[in-house]
Amino acid sequence: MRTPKKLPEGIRLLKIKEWTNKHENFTQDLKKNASFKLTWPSSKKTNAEKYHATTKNFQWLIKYAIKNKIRLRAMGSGWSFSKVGVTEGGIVDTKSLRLAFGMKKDKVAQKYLDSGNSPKNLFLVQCGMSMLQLNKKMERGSLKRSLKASGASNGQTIVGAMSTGTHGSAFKVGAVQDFVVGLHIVTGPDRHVWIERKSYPVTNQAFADWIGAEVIRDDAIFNSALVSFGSFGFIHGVMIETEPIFLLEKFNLKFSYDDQLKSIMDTCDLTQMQKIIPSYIKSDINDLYHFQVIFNPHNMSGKKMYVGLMYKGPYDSDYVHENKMPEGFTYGDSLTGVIQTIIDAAGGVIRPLIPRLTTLFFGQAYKQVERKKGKFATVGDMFGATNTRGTLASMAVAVDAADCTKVLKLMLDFNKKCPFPGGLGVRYLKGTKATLGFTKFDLSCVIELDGLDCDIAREFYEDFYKILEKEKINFTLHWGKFNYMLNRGRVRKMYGGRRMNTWIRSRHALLDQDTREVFANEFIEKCGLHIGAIA
Amino acid sequence: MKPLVKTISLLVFLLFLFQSCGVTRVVAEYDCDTFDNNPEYEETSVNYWWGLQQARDIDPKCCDDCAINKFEVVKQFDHFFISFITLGIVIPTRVKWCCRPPDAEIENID
Repeated sequence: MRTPKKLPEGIRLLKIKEWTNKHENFTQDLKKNASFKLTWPSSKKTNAEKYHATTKNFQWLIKYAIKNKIRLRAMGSGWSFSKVGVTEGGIVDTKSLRLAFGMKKDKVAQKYLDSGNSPKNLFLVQCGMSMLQLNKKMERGSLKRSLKASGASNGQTIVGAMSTGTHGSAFKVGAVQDFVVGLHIVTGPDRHVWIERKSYPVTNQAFADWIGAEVIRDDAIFNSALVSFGSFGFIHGVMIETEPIFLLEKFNLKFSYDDQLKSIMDTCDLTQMQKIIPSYIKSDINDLYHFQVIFNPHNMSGKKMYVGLMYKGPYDSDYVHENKMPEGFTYGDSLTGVIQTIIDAAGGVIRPLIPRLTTLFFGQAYKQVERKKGKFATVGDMFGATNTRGTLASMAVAVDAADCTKVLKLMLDFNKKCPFPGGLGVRYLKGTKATLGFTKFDLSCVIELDGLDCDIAREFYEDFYKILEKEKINFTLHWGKFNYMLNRGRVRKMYGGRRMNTWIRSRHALLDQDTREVFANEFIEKCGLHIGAIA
Repeated sequence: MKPLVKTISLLVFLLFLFQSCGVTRVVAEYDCDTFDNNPEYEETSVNYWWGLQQARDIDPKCCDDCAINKFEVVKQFDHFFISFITLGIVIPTRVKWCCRPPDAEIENID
């Protein structure tokens, strides 16, 4: 493909032929002259002009892709462990697109206001905004707002996090996509749409006139587009719903894996939880916001289950934001890669040593310490920069919370025969409305298996998957983590033909055949979600 | 020491030697204006003759306010090895960086 002669202002060609994801699990080959970086067109003076000009630039990219028969996909931070967010064509770097707009009453749907909601809740945020910067904007200026949920760290972009279902453990709220209430998607060389739920409209005609897009109020299309991995077009902006700023109070407690804890892990029942919480924690159990359990599957005897609790409370105007960087030493960037190579080279011989090795590194990797005194922080400070580095693997399985300890037992039994080189985290989320959101259960329990990216870990993931299938467990996999075992049959089994059909039909409603091809990739083809794949 | 243990120890040592690298990272903020591992933001710079001939300064291609948020120097075994066998005549160093992302005030839609 020839180098494009003249690019519109705000588009720069990226001269890259391949790209490796953050966690170094794969390298994607790219076509020449197919990757671009988008910035705000500098000749445009106002933020609104910059936003509208960028919509046109997205349309230019689609036209270019159709003309040159290449696949394109917008890239967030590139944190996904799977190839869900990359194409065999090019990458569109959106990370400089970070405008944010507040809403005034005259642009907000009357129904939204009549329900007692304030326009101050709503912000239109451009796709490349990082969670870090978004939190800072919300919390540190005069706005004093909080995001309703977050991932465990803050390096993702808002659209990247939403599109793969990034989550924390806000069991009454849900994942990142669950506080998004409007989507601005560029769907063709001459088309862009504003989508929101018919059942929960947030904007009115004045807003539609401002954004200049075709308006679609449709629950099925909106819910499908929320978690769509970049395959529904370029998601230029999202409307997020925030709430007045609050503080989280964090405790980290140690418990035994006994019947009482197991029962709590299967229900998240607050009354039961209150019974095991030490009396020095005075916070009201009804304010519990976050509940998670982290442990080393090779060392569970005694009080070795780290239970993380976060209570939601009022903001304190004397609160000081944390800016401290950790001092001293940490493990090197290449350490996990070196250990992985040794384990792979040694093969089965090293398997008996895995439990000891994991125990040795568990503390360093998870940094779990008992915290009996509450630590107060805003959402942005609590879920800060990631401390992971180097090559890592992670698979996250979502099940109905009622199946949590049943699935953990299967995992732990298998772990005795075939030790997993890593630790486990169990997190809880309110079920998502996103059609293909992997936290689809009313109360979803996400079991995360994080470890070294070696053959033993990959074998474990695959075999554990087969065990879950054999035991007829209803489960799903995180789209942005290890999920290479997915195929059309398995996705259909997880979400059902009806949900798959709704998602595919929604995609067809937004994109014509040429544009669908631009936003396709091998991943969605493999999962039976591309053209003609109606289940 | 048994020969097998010796061989394994030697292999592990060599592996560490060839695979590992030393990284020094300066971070203003853990946020970049591009995706992670963008190959456009890394370069191997070579100095010659004990530093008497130096590579030209690198243009970081930071488009907005020309600020850098993160900078790292990566020293790999092959860098040490080349410097050693050439007695310092050739000194390669790999550098990676990322630019500070743009930051605009939130405005209300009018």
